[in-house]
Amino acid sequence: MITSYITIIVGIVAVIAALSTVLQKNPVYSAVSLIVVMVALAVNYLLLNAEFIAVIQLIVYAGAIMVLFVFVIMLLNLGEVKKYKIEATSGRIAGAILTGLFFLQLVVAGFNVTANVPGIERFFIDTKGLDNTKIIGHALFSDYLLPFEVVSIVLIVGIIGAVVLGKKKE
Amino acid sequence: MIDWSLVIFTFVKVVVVFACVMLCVAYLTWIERKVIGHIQIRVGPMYAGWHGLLQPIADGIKLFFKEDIIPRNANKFLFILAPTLSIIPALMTFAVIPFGDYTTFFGLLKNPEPMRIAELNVGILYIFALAGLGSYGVVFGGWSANNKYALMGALRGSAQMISYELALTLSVIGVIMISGSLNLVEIVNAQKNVWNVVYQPVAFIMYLICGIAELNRTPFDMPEAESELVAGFHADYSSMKFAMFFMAEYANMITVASLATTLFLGGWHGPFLPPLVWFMIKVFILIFFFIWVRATYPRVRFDQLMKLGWKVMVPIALANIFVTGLVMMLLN
Repeated sequence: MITSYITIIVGIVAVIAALSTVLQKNPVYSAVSLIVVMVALAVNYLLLNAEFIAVIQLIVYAGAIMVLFVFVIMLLNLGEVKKYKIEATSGRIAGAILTGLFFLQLVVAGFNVTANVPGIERFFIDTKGLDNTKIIGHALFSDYLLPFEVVSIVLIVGIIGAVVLGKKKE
Repeated sequence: MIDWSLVIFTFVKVVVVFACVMLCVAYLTWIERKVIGHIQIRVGPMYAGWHGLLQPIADGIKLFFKEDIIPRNANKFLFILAPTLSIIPALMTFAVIPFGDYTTFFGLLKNPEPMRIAELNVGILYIFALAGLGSYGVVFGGWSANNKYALMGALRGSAQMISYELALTLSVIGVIMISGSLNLVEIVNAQKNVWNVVYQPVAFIMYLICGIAELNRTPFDMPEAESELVAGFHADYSSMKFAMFFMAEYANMITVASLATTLFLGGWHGPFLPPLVWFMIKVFILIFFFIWVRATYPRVRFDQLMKLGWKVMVPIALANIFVTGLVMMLLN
């Protein structure tokens, strides 16, 4: 009962903060709003009994990535964004229509969600009374081992790429 | 529907823990000044009360009545928000720290009550998440003042915190592997016979080094290096806002010491004395160690700090995880 009310309140906070991220003129305020979005999402994960995901969301996004964003914004000392007119090119109009359609699709899907989507059973995991963290661990190192390893390779490629780009040229 | 006795007990525990932590924070300033004084062959504060025992209260009253100055060019919103962002995560971490086992308060309660506010399945990660959020206080505090020294302090602070958070988290993974849980209570219970420091001596030393760096204390107090940055990120703060940064720093010191006790030193376990007393003894020995280090070592250079973090701490932490896993596999 109470949790569903909190879910709604946190959701509203997340949406307002997300809008504020886009609409703020000062980049630091945008970053602050984005941090609020991350924290609100973490709270929502927590309310869904996904405490591991919630905490990881805080550590990775709010604690590490956003600190780097803020760091870069401060280092560049960006001023307020001046107002500029957005011209309606054909590409932009097409993009807007596609975005609108995608949003509509999400809304429709959101209202039609039922537990009986065909084929969803194969994504269910037998929890065997384990806690959240163990379930994720078991799933990652058994059923989803290949995707997990592929992701780690992709991340290593990213790290090496950053090192190569960051290295001074001789 | 709602278990009111649980609500009342939790509320009482929150108030008691909050009061005790704030008292400890106030008296840590006295302990720190006294210990450093005696190490430097001085006596430290002496006039307010017996051996300066009332000094923290006098300091508190002074800070409370000081004029609160906000610089004209400061970003007011973030300038006011930053001290709060520092202290709230620092205090929230105490929610999961297990101070002791079940207790009946000398037979006063019918059902034994656990001596902790909450038991989380992801207790360690919760503390790291809040530690990550705590760095925003330093970052925004330094930026919003619109002062180059404060900005330098904030940038150094954020760089340092990201680097050392990684090594700190990696150093703890060995303990998690041995205990098989992220729950702080289960980790303590797993150390009933042998403390984790015996199995994980390298991780313990690394945890202490990274902990000091995470606390921004000498020899890693880059964000507030007095001799180069005036006072770093809190150069423009005065009155209670300044006090809040300091309270957060000392509260974090207690958190790091408590977590070290919980993870490596067997938590509340120990012979003869009650669990809570053992916990306090261990925490205060670690805090004494932090103060001792501050009085002993000079500040490192910033590039040395970064090199130590990325080129020494992280590889050793990864090697420690690998060796721990290998030994566990061979023994089983």
